[in-house]
Amino acid sequence: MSVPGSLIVPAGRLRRKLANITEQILTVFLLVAFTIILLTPLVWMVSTALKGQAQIFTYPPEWIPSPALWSNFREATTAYPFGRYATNTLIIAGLNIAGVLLTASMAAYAFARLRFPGRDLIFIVLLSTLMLPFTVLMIPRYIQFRELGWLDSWKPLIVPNWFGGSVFFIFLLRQFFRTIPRDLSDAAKLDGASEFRIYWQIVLPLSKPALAVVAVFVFLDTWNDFLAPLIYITSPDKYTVSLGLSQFMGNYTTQYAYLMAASTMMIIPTIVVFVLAQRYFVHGVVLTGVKG
Amino acid sequence: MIKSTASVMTTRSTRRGVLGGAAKLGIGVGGASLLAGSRSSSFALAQDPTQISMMGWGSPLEKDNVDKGLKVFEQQNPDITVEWIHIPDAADQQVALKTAIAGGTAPDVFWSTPFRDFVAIGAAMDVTDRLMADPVLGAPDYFLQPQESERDTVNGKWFGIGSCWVAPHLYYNADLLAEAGIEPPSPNPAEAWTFDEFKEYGRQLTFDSQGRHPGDSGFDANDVKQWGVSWPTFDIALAAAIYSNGGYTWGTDYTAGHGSAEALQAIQAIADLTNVDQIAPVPTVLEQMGMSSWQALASGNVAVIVDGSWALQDIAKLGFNFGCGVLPVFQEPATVMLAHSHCVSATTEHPDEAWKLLAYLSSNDYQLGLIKVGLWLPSHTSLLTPDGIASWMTEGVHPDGYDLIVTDYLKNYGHNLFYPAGYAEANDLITAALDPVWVGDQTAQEALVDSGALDEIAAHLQEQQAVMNDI
Amino acid sequence: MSSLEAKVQPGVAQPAIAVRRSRLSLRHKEALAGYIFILPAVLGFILWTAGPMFYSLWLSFHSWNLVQPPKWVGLGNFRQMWNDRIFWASVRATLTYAAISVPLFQLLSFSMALLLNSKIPGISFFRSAFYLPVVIPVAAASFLWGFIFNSEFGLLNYVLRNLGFDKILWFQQPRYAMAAMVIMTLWLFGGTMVIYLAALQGVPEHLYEAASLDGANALRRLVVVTIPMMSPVIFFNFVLGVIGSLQIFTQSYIITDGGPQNATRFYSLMIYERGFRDFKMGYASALAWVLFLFILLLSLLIFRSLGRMVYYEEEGT
Repeated sequence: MSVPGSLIVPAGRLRRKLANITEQILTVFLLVAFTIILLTPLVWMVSTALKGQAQIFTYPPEWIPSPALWSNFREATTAYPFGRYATNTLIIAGLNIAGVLLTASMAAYAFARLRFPGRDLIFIVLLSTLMLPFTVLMIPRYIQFRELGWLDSWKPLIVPNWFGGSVFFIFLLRQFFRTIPRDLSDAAKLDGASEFRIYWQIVLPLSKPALAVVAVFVFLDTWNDFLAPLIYITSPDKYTVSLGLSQFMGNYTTQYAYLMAASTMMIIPTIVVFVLAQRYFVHGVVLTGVKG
Repeated sequence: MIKSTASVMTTRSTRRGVLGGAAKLGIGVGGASLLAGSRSSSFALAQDPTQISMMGWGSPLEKDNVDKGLKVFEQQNPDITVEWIHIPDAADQQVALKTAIAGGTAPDVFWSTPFRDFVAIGAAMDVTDRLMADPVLGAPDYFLQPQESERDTVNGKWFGIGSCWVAPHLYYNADLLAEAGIEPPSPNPAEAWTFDEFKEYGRQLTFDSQGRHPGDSGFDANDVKQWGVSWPTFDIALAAAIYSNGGYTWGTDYTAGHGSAEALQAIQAIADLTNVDQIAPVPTVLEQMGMSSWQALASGNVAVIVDGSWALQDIAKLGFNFGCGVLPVFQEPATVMLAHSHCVSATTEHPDEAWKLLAYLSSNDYQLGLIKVGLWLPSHTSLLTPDGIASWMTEGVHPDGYDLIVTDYLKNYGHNLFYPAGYAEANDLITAALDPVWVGDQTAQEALVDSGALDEIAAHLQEQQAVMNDI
Repeated sequence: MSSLEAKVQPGVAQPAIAVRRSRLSLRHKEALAGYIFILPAVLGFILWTAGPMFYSLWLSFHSWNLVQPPKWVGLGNFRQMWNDRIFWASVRATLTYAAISVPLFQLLSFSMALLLNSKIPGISFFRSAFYLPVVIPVAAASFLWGFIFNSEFGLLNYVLRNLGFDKILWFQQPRYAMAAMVIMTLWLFGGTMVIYLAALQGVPEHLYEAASLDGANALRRLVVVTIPMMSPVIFFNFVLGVIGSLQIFTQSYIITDGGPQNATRFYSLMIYERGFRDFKMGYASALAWVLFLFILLLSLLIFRSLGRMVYYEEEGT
């Protein structure tokens, strides 16, 4: 809507436009500054990973490794057999992803689209476990897995994920399933399709983005998990990447370049996954909704 | 922070304080040098070999050494095969070991630190009779005494045999001392620096970016270019100072000696190196996340450091001009000595075979490999004779005069560092209580005595002693 | 009926004959399907959460080192806690950390979301850059930050020195160690920021327009429109943030080992040490239960908001 006939308006617009531009410049400046602050530690890590022992402990610190010792990465794998640990972790992550995608989506489907007595109560009870930190559970679970003879195996890290995994994922998928139009499943139901078929052939195929989000989160959770492997796994040949990294201190305490090289190796896959899937990340968070 | 011990052997373990000290040390066996010894070659019958298991820790290098040693052992004993359960980190190994014991699957032979925790839960076998009956190990002068007995016996009974010894001493960057025109510290206890000399040299070796020394006007402790000294504060290094001042840390009677005037004075003197004399960096800074002060020594940030003998292995590899000396003297020359013990499981089904392995682990052959690389010091008297010394002194590892550190300093001035059962918790309490001392927020007296920390430790130790009296 | 379905719904009757009956049984069928679909998750809850919780409740009245059989000690563990200096130090450290880090974290996430909620070219790059630290494994991040904070050789003190500050003993002085822990946490604001960002984009434009017409400036619009509209999200993030902050473990395990002066001996670390280092399983269980009860109190708060949220969605069904 324009205000007719005033000479002042253009000037006001100009001022507003100027203010707008200033604001934008200021915003960009802040964004760039924060980006630099946030990413500097990672740059520092890579720089340190390439330095010689002496250069690491010089003061003032130097940014550019000279010479750049790429061999640090190779040396680091003596104490940190990254390939081995990464393979282990990928196997665990793969099984976890499969387990969560299947069992969490099943539960989510029921909570989102089926009616049965006690549904909301059960859902809230499950949801309440979001409030229960692993810290509270680690002692009894450890004893439980000990009784089962599962210690020093991957089972404690995997099996719970075949029972729904974190309720967070059930919640996330439930939110998504609710957005799928009912007409589709109603039509199928009239045709005599079973709930399982609707779940399997209609809802799941339409939910690929949400399932991708879950898969990515499960991967990162598994890859980054530290406390659970620390408690359950003792044999070095079964270590995950995080646990193996922490063992580095026991082995080569002193070699900070190697430590940083190992850290870099461990971080790279997460960044790759992040870059490939960043769309989904934001999407996933939007999904979880937490809407008001 | 870094608490501790840490440092110690560098491992995180230590960091966790579990280990007191003996942590990584443990390690291994001597490498290629193992000759197929003469010990017990029972020629095998055509029956299946007995399999026994051993659980221990160590870095890849040390693991290699154990592998080689076990191969030799199996050659000598064709009727025995050893399954070697290797866990890199010492603290994790202790956890895994306790878990295995709890689950009834204890390994037949295991490395223990702190040793008395395993005796306390009845996991280690009494090997007194076997030891006394052994033609080699049973000789009264086989081990350095009385330290060996102090380390391995509870109520007069042997529950294990020490792997080796390690002890803290001085390392110096020879180039930095030469620049300052300072005569290096000697490995001969008779020529040790006094603590005052140590401080004065430290002052001369410390300067800020303008070349000013502590005490000069305008000296900026926030902008130090080179530190004179570093005395780490993990249990072992600290204990050495306390013993030299006539005190003790952990008594065999389950008392904590940290509250005596001698101990408090020594602790305070170490803290004052940073906060009053301004000749040392805050010690825990160099111990963080598995660092050691020798990294700063090698890069020329510090001129003289106290560190364990085990660090020689790493230091010798760095290719800088260094040397070793005995610690400066408070009241009397002193250092502390320690290392993990090898034990036979109380529940082993193969006690004879397990004992054979334990005896092998206590042989010169086994010990030599890691002495030669600078990780261990000998615990057998036969390695202190001129011939014995010649068998381990290694060019490029042990600097000139290092033999004196073993034959004189360790043997005559070394105190066995006693680790009571329940040591880890006691050390946690001490470490946390001392944190404010190192940064100058409290005096040693305030932190340990006035705060009531030592009372709490005393109560904890008494509980443990009650358990041990029944062993 | 597919064979798969038969597997999933054993014992379900054949399609009913009469229409009326079939409607009824359709409802039953749906309910039955529902129970079968949630069975794994419910079993998981019983096996891995509820069961262990009850077990650890039982254990918390015992003394057990995993070797000798558990011994009944009544309230002994809880009494011991009362007199345990490290317990109180740990409670203090954990609550201090929560009290400092959670508000700062939410404030930072929220402000950054506001900053990102503008139409500037390349904004998605910044959004990704801000989120990136969240995907970094915390073990690796701990090593990295531990080194950056090193008082002698660390990057941070060097930067601070050039800005005119004195050397800070990051992991030697309790208050700085706490500050370091908070800074490491703040690095991860991106995860929560994205939640705020999503919520911000959901605030109806017409509310802002209306406020503008009433003469509200940007700050005023923030106060009268944005914050009220986002209050459930803010509250939710706050409570989850508090619960998350009670779990901090890896940073102190790797870098400080609980020091200096127990300033970073967070609750999780203490439980870990009691349980897996000292093998005091009964005492560790008692510690865990105290934490659980504390969280239960907090949960009472969140249950309200969560219940409202769920109810709200049901309406949309």
